[in-house]
Amino acid sequence: MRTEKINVAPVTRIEGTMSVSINLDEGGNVAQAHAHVLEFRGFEAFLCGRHVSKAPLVTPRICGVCPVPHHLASIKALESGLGLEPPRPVAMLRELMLACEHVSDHLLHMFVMAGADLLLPDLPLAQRGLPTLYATYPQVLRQVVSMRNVTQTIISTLGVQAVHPDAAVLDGLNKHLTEAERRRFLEGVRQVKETILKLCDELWVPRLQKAMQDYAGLGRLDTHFVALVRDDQMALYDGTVRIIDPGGAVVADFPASAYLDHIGEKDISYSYAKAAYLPSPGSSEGMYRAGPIARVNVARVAGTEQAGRLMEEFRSGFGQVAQETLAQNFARYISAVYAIERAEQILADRGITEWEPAAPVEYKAGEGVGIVEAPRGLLIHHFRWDDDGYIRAANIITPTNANASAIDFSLKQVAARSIRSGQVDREKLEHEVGIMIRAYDPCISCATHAMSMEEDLFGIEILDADGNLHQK
Amino acid sequence: MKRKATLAIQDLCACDGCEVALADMGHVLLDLLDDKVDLVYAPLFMSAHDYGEVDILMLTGVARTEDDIAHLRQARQRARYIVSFGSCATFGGIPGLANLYERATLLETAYQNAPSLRVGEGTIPSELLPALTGEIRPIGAYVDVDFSLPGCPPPPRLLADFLERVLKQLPLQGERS
Repeated sequence: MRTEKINVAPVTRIEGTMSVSINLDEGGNVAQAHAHVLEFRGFEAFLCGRHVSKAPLVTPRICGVCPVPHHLASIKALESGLGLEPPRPVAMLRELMLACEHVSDHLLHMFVMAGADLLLPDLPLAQRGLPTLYATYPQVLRQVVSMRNVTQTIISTLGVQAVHPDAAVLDGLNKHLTEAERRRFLEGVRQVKETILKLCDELWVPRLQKAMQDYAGLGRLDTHFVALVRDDQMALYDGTVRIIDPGGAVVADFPASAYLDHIGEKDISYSYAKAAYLPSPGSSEGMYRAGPIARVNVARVAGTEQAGRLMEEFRSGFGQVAQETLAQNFARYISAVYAIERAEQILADRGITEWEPAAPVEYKAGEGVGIVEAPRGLLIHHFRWDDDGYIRAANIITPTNANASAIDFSLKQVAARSIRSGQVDREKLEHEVGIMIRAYDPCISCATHAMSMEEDLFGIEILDADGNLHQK
Repeated sequence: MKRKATLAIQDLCACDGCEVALADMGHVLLDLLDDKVDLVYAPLFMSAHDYGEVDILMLTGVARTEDDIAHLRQARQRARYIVSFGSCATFGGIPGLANLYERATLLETAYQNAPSLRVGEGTIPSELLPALTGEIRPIGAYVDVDFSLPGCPPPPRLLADFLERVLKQLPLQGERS
């Protein structure tokens, strides 16, 4: 066994800090590969003893990239436990905020985080990123910024600030949308829709197709998928949780309150992220995937026009249930289009500007589960509180917990492409691991609700059969 | 001819919301990149692995490991101005709530008491992972900070005003185009 240590460049452009270790067998081939999440914060503990009305303000701080779904999953958990159902315009405005977050977040990922690989394939890895993207594609970046400005402004108008919004209160929102704002935002989202479709048609999709040829089969695996659906259509804010098997058959449809019957978690000795899994038999180690690809695979139809068209295109290319890991990027595009179309549908409804503020609520002991689709997939918040409304127990399962096992399986497959009989093609390994992991768009902050314990941003470690560090 | 000011964004333990606020500066950020700022390090947005020496280093999040702390001590030699970026770096923020609990309680709650945990033996993860240490302190406890920008996150407009003012203070004449 070689014991030389080589510095492997950290993989970047993911949310948070993750390292990778690869164990080699006696023959110098890949035996195991693990992603290590190096952060821990302990949000569940410090929610306990706090008033449950504070949960929607504390939980967004789990993740600055997707604070809106945390904010909304928390308020939904409270409302379900207190038996409240907000008026229809309130639910629609909350979905509007969530849809806008999906668009903002997907755009950042599509055009910067993963976008640097697609749009700058000839640059060395270390030079890929926002400054070189802007230098090479100034007009594209300007358009992306203008689009995000529309969606982030809608969130901050309703929620004071786009990152860590303060919008949702029991049965209501802190703020109304004026008729003038509704019209202005409707015009804005229509422009965003046009721009996304045009930019992707002309530039982004051809580049993705090229990358999918260059990295054919990268990280492919067969898994179950879990996502929200409403009447068999894609859903973001409200719906039924659906599990499908790798062939597309529906394994279960269940309401948020029944999540413990269908989704479990296991601790992983080598990661601060727990892995969510499906305890019912039939799936490989209970592995499932969440996120844009799950939303697209699980829904029978999109429910909006342009996303529906793209979904048909997607299925003709990847089958009824897409399993290609890099297809997650295309699914993210469909998800962005679906979200902007939902935002448009909601803003086209004049009824969203009028609703009555909720009456004050009397707290009583309760327990509630709130589930929404975050940009990265199914997000579950579960709280139990006492008669005065103080939280006694809290549990949060994020999409990156769901994808933790799948990332490990993909990683093993990807590593084997660059490591044979002790020979390691480091450059290829580093490159392909990054591209595969970015396709999952993991959110490390979410996965651990964690206090960052980072050493490297994303170091790759290779261990020999005795567990000694082979390369770093 | 004025050269551009070099800027690095280093996140410690953070939610990355401060970086998103920076992205939310939008066109103002791109205008700065045009002729005033050379963004050399920001892991969320780019793959550069290090930042050498910079004019402005913005630190977000809280420090948890000795490594983080050593990194903070090193920072002083590598940056003309150090900015405590956001409430976590400046005060401890929401992650600072951890100081109210025993470390064991935090870990047991997450890895042993969660109702969705079904398999496994309730192992507290440790393999190949950095150990959790100490309490959360403002980064100013470890390194001399030139500017503090509180806010969770600091609003994009505040960031724009701040950068404009700090750029005026920097001696950037004639070093390169």
